[in-house]
Amino acid sequence: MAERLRNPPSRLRSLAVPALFIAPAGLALVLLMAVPMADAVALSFQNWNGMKPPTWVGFGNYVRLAQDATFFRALWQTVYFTVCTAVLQTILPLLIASLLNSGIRGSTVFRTLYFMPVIISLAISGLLWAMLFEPNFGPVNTVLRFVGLGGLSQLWLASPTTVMPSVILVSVWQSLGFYLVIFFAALQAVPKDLYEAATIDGANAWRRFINVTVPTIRPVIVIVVVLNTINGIKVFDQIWVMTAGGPDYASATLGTYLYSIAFGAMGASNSRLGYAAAIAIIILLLSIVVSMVQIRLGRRKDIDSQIEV
Amino acid sequence: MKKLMTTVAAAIALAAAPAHADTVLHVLSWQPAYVDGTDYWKKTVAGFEAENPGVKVESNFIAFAQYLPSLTAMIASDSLPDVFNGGTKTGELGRSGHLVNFKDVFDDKFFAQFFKGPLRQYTFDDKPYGLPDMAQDFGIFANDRIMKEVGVKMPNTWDELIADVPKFKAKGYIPLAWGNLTRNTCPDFFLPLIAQYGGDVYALDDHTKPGLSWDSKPVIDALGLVQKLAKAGVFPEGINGIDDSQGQQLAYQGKAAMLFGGSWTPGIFAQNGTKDWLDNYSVNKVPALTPDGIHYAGDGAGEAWSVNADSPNKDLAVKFIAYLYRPEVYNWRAKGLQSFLSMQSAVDQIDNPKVKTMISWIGTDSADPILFGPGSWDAVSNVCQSTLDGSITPEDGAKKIEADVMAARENN
Amino acid sequence: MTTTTPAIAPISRSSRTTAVGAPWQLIFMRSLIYVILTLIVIVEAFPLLWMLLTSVKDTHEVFNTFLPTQFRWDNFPRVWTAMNFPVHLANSLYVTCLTVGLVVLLATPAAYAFARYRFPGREIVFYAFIGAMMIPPQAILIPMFQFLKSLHMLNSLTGLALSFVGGGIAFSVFLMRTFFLSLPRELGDAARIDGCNDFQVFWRVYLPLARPGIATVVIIQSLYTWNEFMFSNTFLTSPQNKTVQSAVFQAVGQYATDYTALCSGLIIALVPVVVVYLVLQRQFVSGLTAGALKG
Repeated sequence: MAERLRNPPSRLRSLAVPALFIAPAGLALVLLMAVPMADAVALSFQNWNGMKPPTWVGFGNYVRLAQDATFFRALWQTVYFTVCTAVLQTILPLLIASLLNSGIRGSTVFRTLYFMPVIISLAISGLLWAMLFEPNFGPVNTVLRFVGLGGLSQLWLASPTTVMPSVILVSVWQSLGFYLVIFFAALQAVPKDLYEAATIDGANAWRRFINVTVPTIRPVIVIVVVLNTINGIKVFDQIWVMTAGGPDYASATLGTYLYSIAFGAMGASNSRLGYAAAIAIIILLLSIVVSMVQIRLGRRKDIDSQIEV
Repeated sequence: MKKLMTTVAAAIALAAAPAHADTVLHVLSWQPAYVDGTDYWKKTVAGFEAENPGVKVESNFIAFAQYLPSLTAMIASDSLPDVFNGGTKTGELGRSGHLVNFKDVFDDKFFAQFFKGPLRQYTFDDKPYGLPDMAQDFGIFANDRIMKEVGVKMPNTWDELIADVPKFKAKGYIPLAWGNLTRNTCPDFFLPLIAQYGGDVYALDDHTKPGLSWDSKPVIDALGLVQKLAKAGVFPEGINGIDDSQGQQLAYQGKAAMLFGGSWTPGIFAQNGTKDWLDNYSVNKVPALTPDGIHYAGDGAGEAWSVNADSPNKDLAVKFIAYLYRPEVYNWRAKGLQSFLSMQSAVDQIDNPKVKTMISWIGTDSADPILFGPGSWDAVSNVCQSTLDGSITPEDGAKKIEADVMAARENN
Repeated sequence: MTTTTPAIAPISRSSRTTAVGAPWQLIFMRSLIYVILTLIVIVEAFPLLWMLLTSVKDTHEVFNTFLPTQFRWDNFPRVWTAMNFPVHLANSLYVTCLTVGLVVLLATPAAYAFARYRFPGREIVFYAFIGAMMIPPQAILIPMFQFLKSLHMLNSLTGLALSFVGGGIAFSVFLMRTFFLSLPRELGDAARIDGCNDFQVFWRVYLPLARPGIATVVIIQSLYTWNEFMFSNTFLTSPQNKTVQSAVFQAVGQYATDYTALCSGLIIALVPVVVVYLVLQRQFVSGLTAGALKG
């Protein structure tokens, strides 16, 4: 275990060097991100349709949000989406990565194939899947009928009950390869001797997985969960292209609701830019709070591990 | 830092700017065919530039899916182009004073050249803020071979259509195909029904007449009819999950007997249709309420040109519009696009006799399918979608439309 | 990466099975694993297969048949000229290179500093950094539009790149900090003892080791920028400036989509990204977290 040598004790000294490293990036962030973001925050306190001059309404938009049933529906559906995708997009890639890591051949080929959906943009995959899910003769239902499982065929995106699961399926389909590659790399680096020690103690494959693999790659799991959560809370592109939040808000999330408020579902004439900005702030706050909690929970101050996440 | 960046940016811009200063007229559309690449647009632009030396026309386009959000961004930052398609924003833009009122610059003779319905579409408070370029109306395309096989004549009334459903189903056909995934087609279908029941969609959209509300009998009746048709099995199952292309496929593949579509669809048939469809399709009016009722179907203009009233090149822009609508110049576009026309003089440019037939309906059977009022489109398309799958009753639907429209207007 | 360490070890390693029973069970397990993996490949690859097949179909056949009856290889040259690919590929390349370059340049030292140094306010500043990655892009579409307008950078490829840099820095700092945390302190401390100042420690010791982490950032940021649709379509209006995604989306009309053009255009657009991925693949795999576990 290495010791941590500290910099000389002066407080000013301890700030100057890191500040120099961070300053360029910080400056870029302030200029390119903070300015538009500050505008958005300011906008959330106004009413504006883009055409007439804006009017200040203080917390009016937030108050209205608190009474907006569709907002809460979108919020609930976002939570549902995020929890499902965070769980599925963490566990499935991990399990599959483990399979790939079990000494079989051709793992590189598999990994590359699994990664291909990641390369497609979200808008395109939304378009593709909208077509695949078409109820009458889209490929999904056609294949189901072909293999005799016609009873399982659904209306998919057309029905309020199946639309969220369909959308979640598409998200998992697209992200699987990405997190798979992450986990695969993590698994590759787990020291062999840990497994051998466990085997000698009589552990079978599953026990080894739970007691050796998972704790060792815990920081990676936390990162994956955090990334999945952040992406889930702000999800927009795929859902918008497939359903525009429909049918009748059955697949609306905070991200799609924001867009339809700002620009209308068909870009209709009614832009409520201030109200939309308020929703954006909610998304941001939600993400920050949830990921802070996750990172804190995932942290482990362990003398055997120097790693903090 | 910002000043430095601005200076650098300006330097780059200067370096890239052309040496001589032409007046540039900015034209923006969602029609990719209006941007370099088609002969007729090239000819149009070249003609204008020849008549106006020192002027350059810059034609830009933004894909339809992103067009209106981009327009919103341009409006919000005062960077509207000189001439552009206003789309569903035309009404509000005009009322906020950002668009030229064409009545100020053109006389009655000019307006008489247009079909009334499309022109009315873009007239608000008696001020035309947009001039329709291409128009549209709707009809039903029937596969005559299938109709004969099923033993059904084109239904004249909605009740006849419902009565015929078992005959279609017996032979395994979907009676009337279309798709509502994008939520646009249901209003096209539903709004003219309000006219069939005696309502006035233009007035509802304007929402200025006292006591006029979406929660009224014609609307409830129209929603009821849509739901009745859906429940009777007239439409494909899962219609809210089918998009327009897929709806057309149902027709091409011979799975549906009829297809609901607009006058632009024959052009698409040529590109994507199967032989069976192309050989056998006929165009018909949508059914009416009664045997001698008016077969109201949507008509209107998809694209209209508006002029930015705040532009320094306003007069030049108006001149360009006048040029665009000279009959000879319009004919180039009409012939090239083979779509539906807004000007009567160009009817002869259309080759497809079926499109010509649809154009002939525009004087008598037109009703408004496009909404411009704040919140109207979203309100109607949402309720329409729910009506189709039966998740809302007509009475509740009408109430919801009214409530959503009022909420949107109040927040504006 | 050296030896593969099985997380699920073949049963024969267990101390309980005999040598006689082992081989059959091993084969069975292995086959089962292959079957599962292949099934997943089919699900993952099916839409892409559809896309590939559609790109060589005739427009009339898109939904009629699964396999094309006539192979329209001319879809590719047709789309190449119709969508003006050379110009748009060049545009996308420029925007991607500029964005990725700026992001790597700015984010790497910052991530390093967050990993290596302790200083007052470190947590807060870090969260402020990664906060930028939680902002939904559609929320700042209009403010960004106004911002670019004030810089006279609307309809400019450079302006578009700048609009991506903020979010890109945030994400890259998040990823690379973990990567830097995994590198051993001793190397830097040894260098300091040898007389290097802080910058030399970074430049000579850690930066060369950072290649996998940077490769990771390059792949992810390139993917994101190349595929980005909303900002590119909103900020770029003139045809000469558009990116590859805008060009491809021209096939999606208001009422009808030319799927053969869309798919063939997409495949052309995917080629550069696939190349980048294949080239950097190994670095990517090792860069993501390999270091995170080394003690």
